Amino acid sequence: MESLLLSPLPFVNLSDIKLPSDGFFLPLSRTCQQLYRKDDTCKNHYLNLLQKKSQAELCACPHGFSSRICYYRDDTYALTGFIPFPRAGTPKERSVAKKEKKYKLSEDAVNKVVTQISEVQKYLNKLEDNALRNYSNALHEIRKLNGTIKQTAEKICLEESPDNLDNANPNIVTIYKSSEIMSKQFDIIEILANEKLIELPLNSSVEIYKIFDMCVRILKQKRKNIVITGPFQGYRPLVRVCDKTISIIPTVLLTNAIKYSITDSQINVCFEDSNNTCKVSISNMCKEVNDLPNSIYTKGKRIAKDNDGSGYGLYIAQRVAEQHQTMISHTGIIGKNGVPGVRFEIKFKKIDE
Amino acid sequence: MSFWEKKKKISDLVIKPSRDIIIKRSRILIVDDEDPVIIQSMKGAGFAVDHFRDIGDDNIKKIDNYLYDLIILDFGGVGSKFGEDEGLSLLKYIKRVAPATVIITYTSKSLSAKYSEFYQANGGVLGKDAGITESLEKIEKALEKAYSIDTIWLGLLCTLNIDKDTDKDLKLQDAFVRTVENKGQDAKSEFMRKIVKLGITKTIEKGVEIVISKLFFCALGV
Repeated sequence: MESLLLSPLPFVNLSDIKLPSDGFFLPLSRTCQQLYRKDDTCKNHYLNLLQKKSQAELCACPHGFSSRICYYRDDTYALTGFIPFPRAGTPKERSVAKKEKKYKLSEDAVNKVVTQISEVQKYLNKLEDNALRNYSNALHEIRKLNGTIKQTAEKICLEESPDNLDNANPNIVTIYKSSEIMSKQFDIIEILANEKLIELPLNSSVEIYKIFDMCVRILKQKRKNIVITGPFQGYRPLVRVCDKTISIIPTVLLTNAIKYSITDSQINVCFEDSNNTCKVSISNMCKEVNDLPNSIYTKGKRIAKDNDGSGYGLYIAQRVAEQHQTMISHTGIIGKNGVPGVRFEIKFKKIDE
Repeated sequence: MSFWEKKKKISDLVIKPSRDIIIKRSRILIVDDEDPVIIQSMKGAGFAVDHFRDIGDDNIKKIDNYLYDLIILDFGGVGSKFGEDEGLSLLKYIKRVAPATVIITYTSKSLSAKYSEFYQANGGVLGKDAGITESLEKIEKALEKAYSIDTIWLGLLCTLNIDKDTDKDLKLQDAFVRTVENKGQDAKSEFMRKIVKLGITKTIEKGVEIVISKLFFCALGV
């Protein structure tokens, strides 16, 4: 629960100031609603709250109500729209208190609300820790099992065909590649459960081509027709990456391309070189629309009309791109015979070897 | 050296031991409370690898004395001797006592933000569900780092309590590069004498001597 929905008093998030929300015990008064819409006085009052030296104090608003700062999760909120007792003593307070009797509250009661919110936060943190621990243990065991399956299948494949794993027994290759796909999906699930991982520093230099190529090799299990093109003669640009998260980008872009493209149609992965950057584009012909809105990178935004897709893939991929000081963009394209398509692009800054 | 002569830096040396030499010489330790599946493949690829289920009084000296170039470190079920944070506590210990050792953290657990430092080891992260080829590539890359003069030099500075790019560091680099260029019979001893003469330390401890040996192996192949 990221918002202060259980607050008994009206509240506003000070990092995103809007008309205050109703408290579940005390709704926002009509007077407050009208005054907020009238001009910027209320907004300025909320902005001023952040500058207060002692944030435990009540702070009177110019219209006679009061606010008090409280912290919840990673945000700073103002509990607002009440008239405290003892009074703050501002000019309009007395007349507002007469008119809005329902909104009179003792200072002690306001302090208790702040304490309760702090207790709820502690409890939620504890719950979250427990849930994450249990979830982490379960995922850990599944990943280990998947790892054993993958390594065993890979070992058999390498024994049969040391130079090209794809030439080994097709059934074993299928097992190996399926468990590779599972690993990539687990990586995404892990980041969704712990988005702090996206704040990890870039700790490694890798050939970005290799990361995409490896992903293509695995995903050819699902779509044979993925073609990589680019200036490959001695072309191996290095980029700084976070080795824990980087493979999320090709995994999401390629699995989306497979999911939303016309069955068996070609998916193109193209590398383009410039002085300082290496651009990778992934394009495919679409089953449906190609004019995708920018909101596709928003958390929970689903494009698919069927039940497939979580709405988190592109959100996480874009966050990982931001971690790598770049971003994913997309444009609609028109293919042969006017078939609509879409191209996703990402530019990586090259580093010297 | 005359006072106007430019100080030499380790970046002046072009050194890169070959893959075969690195594999032949290196020693790897896996710290994992379970049997790591990857160990057989590592042995098959020619790596010298040991496996400890945890680090305790019986084997801690091997870490303190730089017996291993690379440590592959699990998170869960290890490091209880070093603190409450399991593998992270052990990681912090190794970074403190053996800073020239390269560490790959080895887990498939989803760790909370509190433990995110575990994902920031100098050798990177390896998932327990990584494939054989991917794992071996990562291990080779980490060993290359373990045998890079920059990594070993940073480890030496850390062991001698010297900050990077300070006057002491630059003097030490100059002394090292000149010793290497002279290619004397006993270059290592000569460099150790220079360290004492520069007033950096009074005696060369065993850990420092091992790091210096590794430096000269990389620089001169001996």
